[in-house]
Amino acid sequence: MSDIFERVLLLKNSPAFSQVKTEDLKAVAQSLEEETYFSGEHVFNKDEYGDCMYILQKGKIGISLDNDNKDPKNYVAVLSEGECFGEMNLLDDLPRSASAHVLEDSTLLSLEKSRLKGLIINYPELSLGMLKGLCTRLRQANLSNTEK
Amino acid sequence: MSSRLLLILSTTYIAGKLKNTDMVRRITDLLLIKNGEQSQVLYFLVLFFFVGAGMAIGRGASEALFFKRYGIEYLPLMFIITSIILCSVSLLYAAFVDCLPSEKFYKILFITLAVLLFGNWYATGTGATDIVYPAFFLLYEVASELLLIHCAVYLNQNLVQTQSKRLTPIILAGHQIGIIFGGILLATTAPLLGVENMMLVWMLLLILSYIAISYWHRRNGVSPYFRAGRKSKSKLTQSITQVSQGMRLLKTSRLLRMSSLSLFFMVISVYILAYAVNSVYTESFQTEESLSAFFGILTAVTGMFALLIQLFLTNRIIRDHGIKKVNYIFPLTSIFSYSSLLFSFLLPSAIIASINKETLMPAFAKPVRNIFISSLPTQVQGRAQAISVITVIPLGLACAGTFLLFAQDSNNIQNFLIVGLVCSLAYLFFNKKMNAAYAEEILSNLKKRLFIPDKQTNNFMEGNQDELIKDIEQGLMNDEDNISIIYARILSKSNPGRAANLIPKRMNKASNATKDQMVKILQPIESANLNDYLKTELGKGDKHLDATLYKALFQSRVPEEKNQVATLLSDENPRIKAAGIYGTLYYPIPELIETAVDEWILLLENAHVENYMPAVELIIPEFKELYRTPPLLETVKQKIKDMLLHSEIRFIRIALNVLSTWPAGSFDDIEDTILNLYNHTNWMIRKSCIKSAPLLSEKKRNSLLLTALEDPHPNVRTSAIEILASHQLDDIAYIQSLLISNKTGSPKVQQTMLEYLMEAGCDSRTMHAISLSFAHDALNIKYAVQYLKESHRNQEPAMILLTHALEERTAEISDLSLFAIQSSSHDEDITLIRAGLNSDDKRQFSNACELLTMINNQEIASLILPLYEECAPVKKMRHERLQFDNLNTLIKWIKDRSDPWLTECATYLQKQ
Repeated sequence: MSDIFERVLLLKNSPAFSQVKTEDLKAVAQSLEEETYFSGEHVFNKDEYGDCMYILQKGKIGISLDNDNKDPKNYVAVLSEGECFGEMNLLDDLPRSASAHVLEDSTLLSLEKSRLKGLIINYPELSLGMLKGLCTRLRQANLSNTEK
Repeated sequence: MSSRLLLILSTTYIAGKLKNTDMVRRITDLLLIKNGEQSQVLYFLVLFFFVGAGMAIGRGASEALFFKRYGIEYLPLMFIITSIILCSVSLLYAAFVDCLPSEKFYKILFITLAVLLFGNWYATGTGATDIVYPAFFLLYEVASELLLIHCAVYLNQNLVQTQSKRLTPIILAGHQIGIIFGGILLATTAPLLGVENMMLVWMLLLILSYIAISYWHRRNGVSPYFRAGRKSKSKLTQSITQVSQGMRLLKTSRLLRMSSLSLFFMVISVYILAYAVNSVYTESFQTEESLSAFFGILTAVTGMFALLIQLFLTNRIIRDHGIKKVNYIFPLTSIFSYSSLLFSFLLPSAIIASINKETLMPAFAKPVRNIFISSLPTQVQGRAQAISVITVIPLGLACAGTFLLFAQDSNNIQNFLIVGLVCSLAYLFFNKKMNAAYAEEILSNLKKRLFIPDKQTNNFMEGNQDELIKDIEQGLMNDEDNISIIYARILSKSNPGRAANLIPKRMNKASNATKDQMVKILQPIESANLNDYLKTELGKGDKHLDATLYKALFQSRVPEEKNQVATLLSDENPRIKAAGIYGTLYYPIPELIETAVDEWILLLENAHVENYMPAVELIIPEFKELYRTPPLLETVKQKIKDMLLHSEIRFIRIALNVLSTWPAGSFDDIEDTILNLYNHTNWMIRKSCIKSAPLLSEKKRNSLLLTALEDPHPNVRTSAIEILASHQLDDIAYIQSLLISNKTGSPKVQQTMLEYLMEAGCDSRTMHAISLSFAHDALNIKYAVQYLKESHRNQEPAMILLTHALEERTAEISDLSLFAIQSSSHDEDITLIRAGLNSDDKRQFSNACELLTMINNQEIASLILPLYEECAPVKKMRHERLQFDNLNTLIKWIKDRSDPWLTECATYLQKQ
């Protein structure tokens, strides 16, 4: 049970879920599956189809626009604890637009598309939080493009 | 930083008794400044210090030079010229004010003024013409108006309403400190440097203001609440358009109209007073040096009074008494000033009048006016201010000047003092009107900005809006059958007459299945025409549709259809047969009842769903005398049991819905099945279980219903409270005790209970008591949060989680407190306030807080406001503060509340 509380707190601190009440986050936390990845692995690759979004519980994930990226400068974002990724293709049903590289051994919490839909219907604040997360990502990408 | 702040800082440093952080916190608490606002407030203080100091010097110097080197007899003429120049300059101001961020506008103003001052100083030095003195006077008059009016726009683009209310008096205190400083500087240096050289000092202060504003906005970007207006057409056309738009705003906004009238009379009153006191001063002081020194001292003293009032009184008086009452202060003191001058036209009365103008006007009239203007929609605030500067102030000034020009000739002082007094009374009158318009303006603002779905739904269902009915009718005629059915349901509830006419039209092009559903929708509507139509449909579709049509006709007891019943009873098709049974029992037809019962049993005993389902659908309350007695009873019971164990949800629901009409004790061995089914993931099954709860024993029923109160689905919760209440002698008293004495459940449960009470038409006194209880509860939770934050700084994850949960509960329960008075107060107003408070938009939140201060139920408002405005006077409230000795006391208090989520969080903390 304490695991659920830790997840609730993790979600509460993540931009996508921060607007959702802790009581409702309990339902979200119960819908999450834990997955472990090791440094050097890919969570997913660009152009793949996926049916999960992820919340980073521990570790570090780099997001790049190509599959074989080795240069840290080319990451459009480096995600840390509490941040979400992979939510875009759950919303638009298109292949992944970027690759997720495991930079440090990481523990991820995955949320399936079918469950996400149900959660959004029950907790509309979730969609606002996800939009906020997407905006942050878009701003980062814009900034990165401007710097280049 | 204010002088008081500096004094406290230095004293504390020497004493060395307090830590720096504690000290700053105490000071900011004292000044009602929240975390994160300190640097912004400091910046505003510095900026307005420079502006204020410059204006004090400019004013004293320009007046002394003008009165002594040109003559006070020209003052009324100067008022008229000022009004014309002010009007022209303001046209330019209006053209740019909404297009440029306010800081850019300030920068343009500072540089333009500095250049003009230098030119004026140079011309004074050459001594070529006396015209430089009235020119300097006019420059000050116009500049001072523009600088102050733009101050309001600038603050509005940087602060939200609640911030504005707290911080504007403090920020304007910076301006006052500047005025004091400028006054002292003028009194001490003007006799040494020469009055005309003070222009250069003002110029220097303007350059410092420019540097301060440039530095701040380079670091912090454009003002956060700046919204650019239109950028088209030529500048002149744009200015005129601004004015005409502003004039149109006068028609639409009552607040703007009343505030303009109030301002108009205030200007006349203030300028007549200014002329009167300046006449006294010019006569009392012989040289320009002594006069400018007196002006310097007077400015410093009145500025000091204004500062003390702004720092220690203004914001507290506004907060404790509301801006409506504060809005009366300056008109009343103006009346008093005129009275004292009428009584004695000498230096002491003139000083009293100066104190009124220089102390009370900036301390009360200006901050209050800024708050009023900030309640207008953001995009029109600039134009509203422009209207004041372009038309209202110049017009008032021109009126005052023209009047004084003629009044001068009569040599009767009392004449113009009485006119000034009458204008002060008119000012008071329009301030009263302005107060009434203020709440209306905020409400209309919120209405435009917020989406209130519940109200729209109500209107929709009331069916008294032609446009909505038209929309529903269009929806009914939609080619998509599913969409059409939804609209048919709405229309049948909102306007049954229209539904009886229109639904048959849509049925002509519908599928059999859709027709079947539409007939069921039409069934409760009694109409001879409708029955005629239903008859024409018989035989046109399939057997299923025919059966439904027959049932509808039988339900209306159409006499000629009675003959069809026997034929239907002997039909091979189970649905038609069931329709025959329905007709037999509904009319009723005694000679066929035995046959009907036999056929009913046969259908129920059939193993095929298409055979037994039409028979199950006949188990309705109207026929209970038959199926709750032998020979039908056992067959019905067995069929229900079988269906409850079915794998498909729809069968379980149908069986549970049948059971929901059965009385307690009529189905003994069904309890465990219902209790097990309540754990189903489908909420509709859970809801049906709750509906069947009356079949359970009292103990099991109460246990199930209390559990269901916390169900995640609102419909299940609603059913639970309905069933729970239906078993009480006094349902309202029972729910009231659950809410107030027992504090049962989480906020979502409490909301369900409140909805039940509202639906039941609970009286406003009870709802007020419940609301009050919620407000106290929310405050107690807030104290718990404060205790956790203050006593346990190094928070563990469990502590952080509990703090989050408690903070969420504070917001939810205070919202429930407002929800409870929603039905007894002005429904829409409270709905808007709640929507504003939950809008996540700072401006709307702030407007909602402001409205909350104006609701009739001030007892509730005074308890709830501190929950939203952290600096509100919690200690002064009639609420006994909850004390926690230690963390265990707090955990016990939470566990006693019967709020499952809080209890879980508290238990988690305890285990940690």
